[in-house]
Amino acid sequence: MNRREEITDLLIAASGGDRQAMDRLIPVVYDELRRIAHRELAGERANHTLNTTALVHEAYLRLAILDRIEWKGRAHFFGLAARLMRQILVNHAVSKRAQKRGGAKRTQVPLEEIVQLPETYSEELIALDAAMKRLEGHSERSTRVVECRFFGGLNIEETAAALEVSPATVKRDWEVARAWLNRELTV
Amino acid sequence: MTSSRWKRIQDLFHAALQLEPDARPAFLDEACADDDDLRREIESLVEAHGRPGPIDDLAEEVIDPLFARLDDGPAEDERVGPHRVIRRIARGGMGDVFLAERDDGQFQRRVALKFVRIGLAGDESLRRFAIERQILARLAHPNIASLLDGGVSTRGPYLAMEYVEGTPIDQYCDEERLSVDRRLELFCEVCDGVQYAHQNLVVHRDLKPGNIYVTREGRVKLLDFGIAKLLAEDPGEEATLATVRWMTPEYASPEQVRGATITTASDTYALGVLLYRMLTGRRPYEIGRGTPQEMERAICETEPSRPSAVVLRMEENEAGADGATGVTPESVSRARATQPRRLQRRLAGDLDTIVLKALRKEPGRRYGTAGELADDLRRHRRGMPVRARADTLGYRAAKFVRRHWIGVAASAVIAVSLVGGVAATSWQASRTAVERDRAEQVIDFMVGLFASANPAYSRGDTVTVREVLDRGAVRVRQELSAQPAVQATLMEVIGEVYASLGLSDSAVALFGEALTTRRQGIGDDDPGLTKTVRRLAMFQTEVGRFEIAEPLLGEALERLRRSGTRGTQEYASALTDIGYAWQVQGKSDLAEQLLTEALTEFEKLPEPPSGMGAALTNLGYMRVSDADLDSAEVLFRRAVEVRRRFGAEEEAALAISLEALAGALMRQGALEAADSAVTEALAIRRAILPEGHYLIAGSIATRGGILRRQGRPADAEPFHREALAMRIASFGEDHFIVAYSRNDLAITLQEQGREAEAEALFREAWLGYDRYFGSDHTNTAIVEANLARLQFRMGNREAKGHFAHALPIVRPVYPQNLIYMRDRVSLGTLRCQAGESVAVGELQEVADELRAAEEEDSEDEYLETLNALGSCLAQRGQVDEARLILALSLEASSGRPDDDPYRTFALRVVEDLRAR
Repeated sequence: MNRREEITDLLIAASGGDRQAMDRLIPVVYDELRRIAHRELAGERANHTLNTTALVHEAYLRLAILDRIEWKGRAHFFGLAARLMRQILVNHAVSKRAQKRGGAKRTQVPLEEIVQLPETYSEELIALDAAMKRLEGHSERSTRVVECRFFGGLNIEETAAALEVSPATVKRDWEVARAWLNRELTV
Repeated sequence: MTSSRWKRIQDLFHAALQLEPDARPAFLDEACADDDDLRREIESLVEAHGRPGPIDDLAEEVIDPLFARLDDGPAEDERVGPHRVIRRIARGGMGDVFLAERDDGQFQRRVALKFVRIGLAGDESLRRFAIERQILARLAHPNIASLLDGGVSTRGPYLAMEYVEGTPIDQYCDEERLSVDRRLELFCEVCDGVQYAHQNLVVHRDLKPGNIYVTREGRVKLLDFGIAKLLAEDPGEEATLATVRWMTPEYASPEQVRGATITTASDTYALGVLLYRMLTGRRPYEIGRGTPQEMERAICETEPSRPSAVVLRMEENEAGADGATGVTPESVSRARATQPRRLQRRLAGDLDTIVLKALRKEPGRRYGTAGELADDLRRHRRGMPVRARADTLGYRAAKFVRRHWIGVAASAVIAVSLVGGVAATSWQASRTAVERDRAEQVIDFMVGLFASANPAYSRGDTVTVREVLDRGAVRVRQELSAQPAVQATLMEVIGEVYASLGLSDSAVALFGEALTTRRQGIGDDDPGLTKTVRRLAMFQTEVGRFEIAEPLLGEALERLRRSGTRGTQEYASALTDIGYAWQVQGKSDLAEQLLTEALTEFEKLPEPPSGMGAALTNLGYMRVSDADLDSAEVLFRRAVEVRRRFGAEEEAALAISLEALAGALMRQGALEAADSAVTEALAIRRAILPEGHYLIAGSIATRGGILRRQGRPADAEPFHREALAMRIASFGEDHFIVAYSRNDLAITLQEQGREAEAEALFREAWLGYDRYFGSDHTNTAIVEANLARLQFRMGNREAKGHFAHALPIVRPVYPQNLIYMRDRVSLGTLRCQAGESVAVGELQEVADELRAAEEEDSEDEYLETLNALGSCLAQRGQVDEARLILALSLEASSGRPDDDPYRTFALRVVEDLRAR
């Protein structure tokens, strides 16, 4: 099995809900993202900002042997991409805070060159992530819905396809989760 | 995991939201009873729901900009492949367009960049994207903006198109105040571009002024060819209203909004709308901004007004609809450098007809291609008669069919049987990777076989292909029994060559052996069986052994469906094979179903293979059988077009379609056009086929038919005799094609007044059909009626029995055919003479049908029927009724001279009655 095939297997497993596969996948995708970013940025203007979602997308495209992923798997796949976005943004915010406090080394910030986050929102993103972890204790599904809608940019229908639930369920989950998170973050 | 408490919170939260704010406290009092925590939770959530919070700020400030950047496309100066983005030039429903510069150090060129959305159908989109890109890249025409480049960037797949600077065509025409003539000239340029793409089997799908620019040099450039299909997210859904939403509904054809198959005729429709607009400054009909259903109804049901009528109309809401300063007859004609009355006269007639033909609701009744539309406009500009009269021409053709006394189906069926021989897919087409080794062995064998035919190896004797094949067949049987798969494959290869030489019996024999070899030597699960069964069934059909072919065809279809080859050209070709075989056997429903499916499958392929020509041609024959000659002609022309693209390799097939086209034209009375088509077919066949080949006989027979229809039966006779002789030599006495040929020859003899010779031939022909199709088959009945008709004229008493048998079979198939109406009158007369009382009712029935039809051109038949009925009643002594009927006849013929035969006859019978 070559590397591509291995990764595709991981993707398929992770799309099917295999958490271990997901854990093993994330560093791989990170690596890939970093390689793309370095390549893209080589020789270009320093203030150039690349689009994270596009990068994540391309990383998947390059990693996966797409023929092997069924349509349903592909819908899951977007849910997966949304989770990855959450990780990327939150990690970024965390490392940014660490940097500010003078702690972390640059090498631990794989996407520093790529994502340029308005500083003031780093704290809020971290708080959101923590709130989502608490929400997960009440309802895992609502948390997935927030991930898809908020971090994945998916609409109601796309989210429903990704999570294999009805659009009505997504809508209900989203409404209550949004209200809940807003309240948690305000308090 | 969802906790039960969370579930309760969620339910109450949503329930509370359903209520008016005033009603909420009371509801919560009851619902939460003594659980204060729960109540506080719901209240705080409802409150949070009603106003924006940190999440929304984050979305707005962090997430949205991220996604907006994705949706927004590249920034200025960003690199996309070898291009550098300059600026956005358009926002469109299908995505934005950016002006960019190719700058790879070698040359600089401005391009328009388009990005393709991927969405949930990601990998499928990418695959189609790659295929379509290749097709589009091959389109090279001065009126089409070319696709220069494409690839996958960090922003997803993109296309780089030729950057066109210019003005949308409608705007250009008005700004330049172009006359109707100049507009037509420009429009024809549009058609040329579209036609070129159609010939390359690319349909635009979104033609509208915004995609048709005129450059500063005055040249038309079509943008975005084939892009619509490329950008449609899900190929299975590409045609539904949902995906049409980005289309301009104004230019969408009925089949597009209904989600039916989109063909070149859909582009023709959009061109019709464009032409309507360019000529009149208005839309063919108002679509409004209603629901999708209302829009669909407007597009599918509203009949457009004639352009010449609409240019004089003042419309109250035009100004609002166009957002322009009012469209009035004056403003429209001023923009065309003329006056309203003049413009009206200019459009009346040809242009009305042409525009409305392009806008017909049924794709089959439109111009089939943009080329035909342009052709008609050019004819109009040169003052030549336009083909758009086809509506009336078709009408006349229908009359021609009604008048013509040889049943249409008989000729259709025979012509059909000539298609399959060469329409066959080549065995190589189905070669798969798994079969490669075997294929190599087969090739070695064939090479060896033909090497032995080289005079250098065979002692200087000339060896015919047939001898080579015979030798090969023997060797295959003897030497390869240890390798059943190779043996069977070679038998099939040789069998196909036999078949293409017209040696159908040898083909059947070899395929039969191949089938046995596969079943016994390899087993029932041999995938090779799919094809073997099918081809054997086809050849068995061609040699007329329907009862053997029938179960094989069923098996062939079942195996095909299970083969998992759907979506390939082999699959579509195989459907065509099976449909064709059913067609030859006269099972029209099955044939129609399979051939239509085959065509749909072909149309899905990125690049239609030559096999599509076979599906089109066979479907064309189905239309001929329905007497829908207009549609048949369109299909045949498409087939000719497809096949011409393949040059020498498809010449044989091209000849078939040309021949078919000739037949359809002939039946429409377009005899000269028919003659030129068949002459081309005959020339091809004489050049590439061995002397005496049955297909040459087919073309010869068609020429004979054309000559006969030109009123030259004596000139036609030698052609029909030659065809008959060749067919007997190829197929033997018993084949129905021979019977068909005899029927043809009999007609030319009858038309020369040689009745006795004709009767003998009709009888032989009928017996031949009877053996083939059985006595109750429509085709047999048609020939039997031919025989009876002649016998009736000759006073032969057998006529009654034949009519009585044939007419009830033919009648439901050709209810309007006047020949058969007359035949029924003849039968009534014969029955009356024999004292059969049923005759009166039958004659009455014919008279009623003819009166109800109220066709001017069936007056003769009507009079003849009344006269026959009158004299029948007179014979039976029903004098009063007889007088009444004859009075009706005389009244109907009152405008005719007294020596008119129908008048004379009626007067004579009335006289006889008076004398009694």
